[in-house]
Amino acid sequence: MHPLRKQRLITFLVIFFAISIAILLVVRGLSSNLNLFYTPTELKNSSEIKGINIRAGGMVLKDSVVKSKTSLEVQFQITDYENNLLVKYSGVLPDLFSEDAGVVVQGNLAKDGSFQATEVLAKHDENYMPPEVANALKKDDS
Amino acid sequence: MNNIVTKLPLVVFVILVASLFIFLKNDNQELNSVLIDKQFPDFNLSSLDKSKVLSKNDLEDLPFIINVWATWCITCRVEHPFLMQLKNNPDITVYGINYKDDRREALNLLDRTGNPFKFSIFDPEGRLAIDLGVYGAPETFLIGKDGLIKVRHTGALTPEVWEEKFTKYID
Amino acid sequence: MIVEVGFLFLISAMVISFMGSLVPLVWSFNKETNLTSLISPIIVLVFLFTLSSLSILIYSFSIDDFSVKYVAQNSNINLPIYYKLSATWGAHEGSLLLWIFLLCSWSLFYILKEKDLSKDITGSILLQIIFFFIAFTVFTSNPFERLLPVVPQNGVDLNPLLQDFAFTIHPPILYLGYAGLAIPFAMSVSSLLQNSVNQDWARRTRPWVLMATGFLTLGITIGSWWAYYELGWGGWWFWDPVENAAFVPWLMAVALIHSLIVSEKRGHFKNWSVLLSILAFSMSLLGTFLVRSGILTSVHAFALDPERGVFLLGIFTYFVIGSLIIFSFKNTNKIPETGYTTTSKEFGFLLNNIFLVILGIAIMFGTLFPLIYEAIFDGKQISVGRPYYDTLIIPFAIGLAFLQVVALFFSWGKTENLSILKALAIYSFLFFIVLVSISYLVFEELYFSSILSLVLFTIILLGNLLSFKQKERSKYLAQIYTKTGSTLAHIGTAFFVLGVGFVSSYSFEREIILSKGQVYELAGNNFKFERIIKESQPNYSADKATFIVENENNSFTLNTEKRFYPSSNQVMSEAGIRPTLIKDYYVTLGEELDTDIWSFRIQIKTLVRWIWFGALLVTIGTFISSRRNFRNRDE
Repeated sequence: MHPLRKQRLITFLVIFFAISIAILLVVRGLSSNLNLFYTPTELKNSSEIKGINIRAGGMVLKDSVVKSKTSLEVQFQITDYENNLLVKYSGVLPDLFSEDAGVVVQGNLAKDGSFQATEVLAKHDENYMPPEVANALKKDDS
Repeated sequence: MNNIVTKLPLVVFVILVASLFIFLKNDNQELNSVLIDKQFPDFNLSSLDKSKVLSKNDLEDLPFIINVWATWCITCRVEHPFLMQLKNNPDITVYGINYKDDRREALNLLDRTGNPFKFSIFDPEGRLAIDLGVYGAPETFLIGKDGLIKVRHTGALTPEVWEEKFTKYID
Repeated sequence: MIVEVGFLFLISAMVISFMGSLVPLVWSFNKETNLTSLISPIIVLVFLFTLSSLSILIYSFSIDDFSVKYVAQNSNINLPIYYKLSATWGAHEGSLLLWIFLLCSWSLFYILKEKDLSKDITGSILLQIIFFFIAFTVFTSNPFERLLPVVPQNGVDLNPLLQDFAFTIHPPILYLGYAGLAIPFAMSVSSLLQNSVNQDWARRTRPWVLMATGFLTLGITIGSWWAYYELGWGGWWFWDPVENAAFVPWLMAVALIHSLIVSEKRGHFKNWSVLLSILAFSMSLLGTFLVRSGILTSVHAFALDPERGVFLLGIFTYFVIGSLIIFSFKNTNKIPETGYTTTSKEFGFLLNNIFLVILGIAIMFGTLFPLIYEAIFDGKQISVGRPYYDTLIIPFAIGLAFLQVVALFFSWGKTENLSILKALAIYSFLFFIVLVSISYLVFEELYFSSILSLVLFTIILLGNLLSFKQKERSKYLAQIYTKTGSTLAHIGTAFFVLGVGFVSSYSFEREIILSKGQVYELAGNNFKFERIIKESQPNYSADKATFIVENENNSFTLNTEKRFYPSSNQVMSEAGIRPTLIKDYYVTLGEELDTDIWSFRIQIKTLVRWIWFGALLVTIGTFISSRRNFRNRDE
């Protein structure tokens, strides 16, 4: 084969190979690590998502936060102003976690319908509402 | 062949830019269309000066604008002079929602700079604000003669914005 | 009054940069009127104007002029003076002005450094970029806007997260990197227009890319360090959209550095280098757009404003689509006669580029995927988690590390003798066994990531050291001169990888509850909760907890705070960190559960410092290499 042709062929093969691997990784990564976002209302009406890693968001319901005095167990309700979801978490809450503020929790839905959170996210802004929550609230309006 | 390859990045980026424009456009629409042509939500909150408990029925002078403000909100001071002007406009009533604020400081500020509002609803926890889908302060809503929400404006209310977005619903 | 002068300076800069950007257009209509001699004085003027403008904004911060809206929103009387100055770039408007000023500085440096400017329209393209960004500032994000007639008594305050030393220097350095990528972009576009994409172009461009990459590396490193001690989670990288927006251009710039070597020495990959310089700059613009437009939310995101988004997207479209159109019609079709084989430096660099670029695109894809998903599945929201990026980057990192080592021993065209690789394999294996044994003795456990990072560390370190040995003795000195920069940068990646692997293997993290006086044991260290006090500062009040940590060798105290900033109504934790060469001890205060009973997060991080040490080596190596390349070409 002409050296220039051969050079080209090899180049294209390499690119093809690298892209295939990248696509493989991207697809694998996306299929196993996507965190779908749900609102309390959506979670109430679905049973098939128990046990999968998901995110849920809403506003922390006033007076719903119950903290243990002897352990890091904490539970609270999040709401989209239609339905509430009980969230259980064990750990230190972020600095900006507070009642009547937006919060996103990551974890999975337990058999009893409560949400077992592995991570609690709050944002550094007092006027902040998680965009997912804002959207969800808007959808409920319409 | 070389030619096709060198035009590939162009094609890819044209698609990327086009989709970004679409995302951006969708984003804008969502922000504005939420409550448009809906009833003003019900509420039950005290007035800023504590004189009485207010509900939706107290917003009786149609059409009106209702302005979400707070002492911690700097932009609110920018639009304040214009709100004072609107107060003297006989075609429209101006109400306020004092949002996530301290009652004393808020009254203090109104004393110092003038009160453009017929009254202000005191909403320290942002309950009414949430029903209205408020992102922050300042925001201004226009409720038309039919009692439905016509305009939502985020950011400072200026004479230009007023001309452009609000006047067509008032006459 | 002076504030209006600042704004006037900015407008003047906008007007004359627009005039300067017309030079190539005039020239293309009339071949006789070459106005390129005007470009340099215009750049000097624009630089002086933006410098004055920025100085005036900084001055307004220093005298607490709260009649300026931007000052009122980002500063406060009680803020210490150095934070008042850094508050200048604490939010969108000011950081944009800083970015513009830095781009002007680069442009000034360019006309000072480049000798032959008689036909060079690069400066004019830079002026175009400057013009669009000043216009963006003036029309959508004016930092000089006044708050009249009611001047607030006090400002809202700078976000407490940003009241920090690293933050005072992080944005300027990172922006120096971002803005620096405009230089190779402008050089490429001007060379395309003048059909002068050749080996000399590559030679002239390379030191500029190296310098910009150096600043970008340093900026990202400082950002990562800041996140580590300031956010209180003990992580050093979060795959946040803003971080990705800096990392992707970095990957492209690194690819460009390598492809330019081939373009310069062998004449291959010239089109590819041009394309990469466009990609690197456009990724930095895209990052800016994603962060500022608010279509992606993140911890660092600035104010959401769709109008700004449209403007920025317009700028992005103009430069990227514009340059790609020029590229698709004016690319060079001169391909050198000499071919290369699979065992050549050319091929090694090609693989390096493919890996880096595909990795960059995949990361950008992950960043944009939530948007795509939302569009396809009708508003259904998702987030792409950290595991996505981890699965993606590990194979590529392995590939790049091995490639780096093997390609060091390749020659141009075809490599005849590869026996040295055998020696390298043997040395590496022995060294690796020693390191693994030591790690096992010290930590008593081995993990996949610690072993992997040791493998990569060994081959990169030994490969780079051995690559000095291959030539005859007489060339040693010359070699040291030419290779110091790149070797340092490459060895930096070895330390970086080792740090990353060990942090993820040998770190401990516990969330615990302690009452005053109680002791908690973690990995042979006794953490004693000594006391907690309340403290008051001008701009915040704090709960301050003191720990005494004891282990076999020594004992020390750790202080951690939880601060409340009343003017912005924010709570923030300050982690207590004891840095050592091998381990960091890291304590964050949680909340009070009962009188004198608090929750804490206690962490021990192994070799975490090595991550930044490695990145610093990369920075230093890149700067050295840039300097040498400047010298070489200018001699």
